[in-house]
Amino acid sequence: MQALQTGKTPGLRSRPSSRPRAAGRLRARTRRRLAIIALVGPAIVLLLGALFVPALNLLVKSVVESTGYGQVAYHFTFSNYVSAVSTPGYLTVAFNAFGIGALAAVICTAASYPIAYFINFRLRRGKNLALFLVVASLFSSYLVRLYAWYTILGIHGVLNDALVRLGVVKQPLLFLLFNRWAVLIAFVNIFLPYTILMISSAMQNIQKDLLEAARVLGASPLRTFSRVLLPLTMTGAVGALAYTFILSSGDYITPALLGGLNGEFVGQIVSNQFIALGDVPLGAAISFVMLAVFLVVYFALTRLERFKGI
Amino acid sequence: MRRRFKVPWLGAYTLLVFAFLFAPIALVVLFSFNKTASLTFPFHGFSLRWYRYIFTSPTYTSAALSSLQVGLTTLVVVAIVGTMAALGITRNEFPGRRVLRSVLFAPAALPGLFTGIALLTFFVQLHVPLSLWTVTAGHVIYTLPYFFLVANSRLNRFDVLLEESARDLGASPWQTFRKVTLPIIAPTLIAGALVVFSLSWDEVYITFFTVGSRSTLPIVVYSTVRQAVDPSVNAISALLLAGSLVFIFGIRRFLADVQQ
Amino acid sequence: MSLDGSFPRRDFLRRAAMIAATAGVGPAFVAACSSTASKSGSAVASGGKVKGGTVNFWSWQGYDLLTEPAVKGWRTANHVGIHSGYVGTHDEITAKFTTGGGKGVYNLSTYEAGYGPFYVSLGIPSALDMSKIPNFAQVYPIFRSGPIFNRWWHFNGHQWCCPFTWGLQGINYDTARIKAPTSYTELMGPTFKGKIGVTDDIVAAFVIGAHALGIFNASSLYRPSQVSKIIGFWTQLKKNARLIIPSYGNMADLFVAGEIVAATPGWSAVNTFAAQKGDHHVSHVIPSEGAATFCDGFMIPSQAPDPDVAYAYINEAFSPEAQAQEAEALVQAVVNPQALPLMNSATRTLYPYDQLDTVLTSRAPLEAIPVKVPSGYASFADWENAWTAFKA
Repeated sequence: MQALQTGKTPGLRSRPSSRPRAAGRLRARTRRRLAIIALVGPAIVLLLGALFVPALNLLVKSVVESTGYGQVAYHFTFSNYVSAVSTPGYLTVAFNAFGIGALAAVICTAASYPIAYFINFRLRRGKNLALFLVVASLFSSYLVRLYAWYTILGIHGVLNDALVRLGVVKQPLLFLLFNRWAVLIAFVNIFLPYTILMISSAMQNIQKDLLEAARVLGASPLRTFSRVLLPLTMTGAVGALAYTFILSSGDYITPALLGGLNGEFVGQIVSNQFIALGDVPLGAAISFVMLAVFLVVYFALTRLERFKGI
Repeated sequence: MRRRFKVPWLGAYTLLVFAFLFAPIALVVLFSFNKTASLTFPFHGFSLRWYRYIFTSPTYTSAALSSLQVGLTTLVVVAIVGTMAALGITRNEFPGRRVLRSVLFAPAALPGLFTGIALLTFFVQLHVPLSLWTVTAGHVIYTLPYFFLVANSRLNRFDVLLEESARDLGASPWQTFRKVTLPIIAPTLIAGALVVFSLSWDEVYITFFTVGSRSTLPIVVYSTVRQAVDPSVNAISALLLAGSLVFIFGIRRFLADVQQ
Repeated sequence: MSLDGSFPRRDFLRRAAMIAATAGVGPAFVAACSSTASKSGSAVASGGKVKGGTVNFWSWQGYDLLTEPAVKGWRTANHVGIHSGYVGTHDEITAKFTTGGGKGVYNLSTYEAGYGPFYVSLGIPSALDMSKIPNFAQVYPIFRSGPIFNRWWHFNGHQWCCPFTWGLQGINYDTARIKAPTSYTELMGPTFKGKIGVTDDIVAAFVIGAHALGIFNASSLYRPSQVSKIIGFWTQLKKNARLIIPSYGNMADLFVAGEIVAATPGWSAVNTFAAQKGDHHVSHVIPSEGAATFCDGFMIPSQAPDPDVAYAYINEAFSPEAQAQEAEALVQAVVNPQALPLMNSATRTLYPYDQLDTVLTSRAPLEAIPVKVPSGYASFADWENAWTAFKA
């Protein structure tokens, strides 16, 4: 008898072998079930243990009472959620964070399309090199890169220096740094490599002939884009939008360093609750509200993906 | 007649964007050679003092080793678990397959802050001492969706007929995987692994909450940035960039040879 | 003056002016001299021996005394290793030893005087066996006896902390571009529009604000209306601010890059940070309204591994040689009078050691956070909310 073979299974189409049919199929089904469990099991265990259970624990903490630094009393209460959405400072900060995050997402995704298109359909020999360069740019520490913006956008920075020398302006421009735009520029710089990779990956599924066909049939570049390219890469675009929005809204280090007087993001508030006040319930509640916003946006975007007719 | 529209514009635009991407990096590298402790203009002259400093400073060397340990462990765990999960999901129909796929993508929707706080509260609750292992747990969860995304999409594109031909010729599933599937999907998986490593290497939010007494490099950089930052952080960044470029080009050579 | 902190305003202004005169002059000299090695004594200070061990440090960068020759030599001679984790805010110390999983990991940390009772209520510091820190007996009397000592460092029958350094938080400014500001209200004037920075240091801000408005309370108990006034004070300054500065280290970079000409709350160490980056023009001044004082002391966290090496380390830090070197490296004041002759004159004149009692008792704005807040007064959470709304 052939020994039970665990491990990778063949494709969706199972190939009949020379074994007796009925019993063989039963064994094959059991083997396949075991194989599936063996394959996806570790991932599930990891997700449960390192994500769902801790998140559940945090959820529990968000509906109990805080009685002092790092101390809770297990009485059920919604007061933390009420505080999370009604404290005046929090709402302003939230709008700041989500607004800039949304802008960053749109800009990054839109800006990535021409590049991904160029790399995938125009470059022949340079394609892998270009993609690898994009990946390489990810290896430079993000915190250290933030300081580079002082040098680029600052009063005595490269940009102002050039503008003053060229006589375009008499005094250095103060509005280049320490405001929302600087934060936005930094976000775009940080997330562009990721969105380029995501959209490029989505474009790899598209046959070049498809675009040629559209052109031959008389479609303008815009129509080719909106009717052919965009729908086919929708998954990548949605992923890029969601990823950039969530990670930039949740960031608080970049805004603190570059945001000037608008540098307070939601993450800072959460961090303060945990560290400065030891109020785990309130910190947990605010993070869940933040999470709720992200999930709503995420699902809205996936809706968009389906609407475009994939 | 073929119309070649946008070509000069597209190329120029791409170059411009690459310049935008690499401008801060170029500055980071430049200031790693600064004679004084400043990260901003004016530039005071060339010196290798920061490179000397990071190689002799126990804070930086131990942090770099810690980051390496966490990064490599994360890479190995995620690559294995992620590939297995992708194989299981793309090759089989089973109830809950769609749900499981969404669930595996889910951690990408979570900001690191949330994951870090959830993990910290959980570990403290269980009296688990914080260490590089708790950091690794956080990094694995954080990077798994990205690797899974890459592996999933690659395996979806994979021509199953190749595997079936091998099976017909008498290869076992494991042999099929090792000799047919793996070599073909290897480049994508390696790229995915590189992204995982880079995500882990740069991660500061989750790490901030789950780190014990052995700091990782981003944590040291973060605390230095808030106290008195000096170009030693630039030197580290420059070295890492150089190392990754060398590694990437080395891999390309190797892959090109393997695929012959 | 009375010991509970109240004082006639005239007296205060006179003393503040003297402090301003002394504190303002020093930093520029020190910034220039900071790279020269201290001319103090031997490499190994007092003879405290210990058989190896590791110090696991969690506190401000610099307080681990990595570069001071006396302490460094002692570590080498006694085979003591040190691992350091640095905080960016004081609350990270609170967090690490309560919800942060740091119990049993670190054996050396610090707290700022005003956090003492709060920390003891949370069980953070361990009760100190002062027989293992004999050098502490050398410090100024005010740091080892009296009302201030009994309020922040020695209560409930135990000593919890050994204060080893203190400093003043006023205004940092760029001497190359402006004259020393004489008051906070000067920074609110039109000439400073878009040129100053407000540091995100909530405790210093509240204490300075209360002080400047004349409503200072030593226990940091303020009514909501007073909190509004304090926030109002800072809102006035924010109108002229180019940015909210996330940290003191960042402040130095901003001065060096020429983005700001003044910043408050300030810290004298910023002068040294800037000098290391090639800018020797950053100085620190105490304006007429006064400033806040911070005083940090070593503590050994409860459940610390290997407390004996921590005790020996702390003892070394109090030797005259070590204290003289700390004064120079940290650009802060120290607590051991025997260190004064070992300092160079620039460092010695930086802080008003001869008026120590006056500074700490009559000015006495030792930074403290509100704890055990009676109803009708603002809690620290109220402070945080007000400050978040201010920054938003």
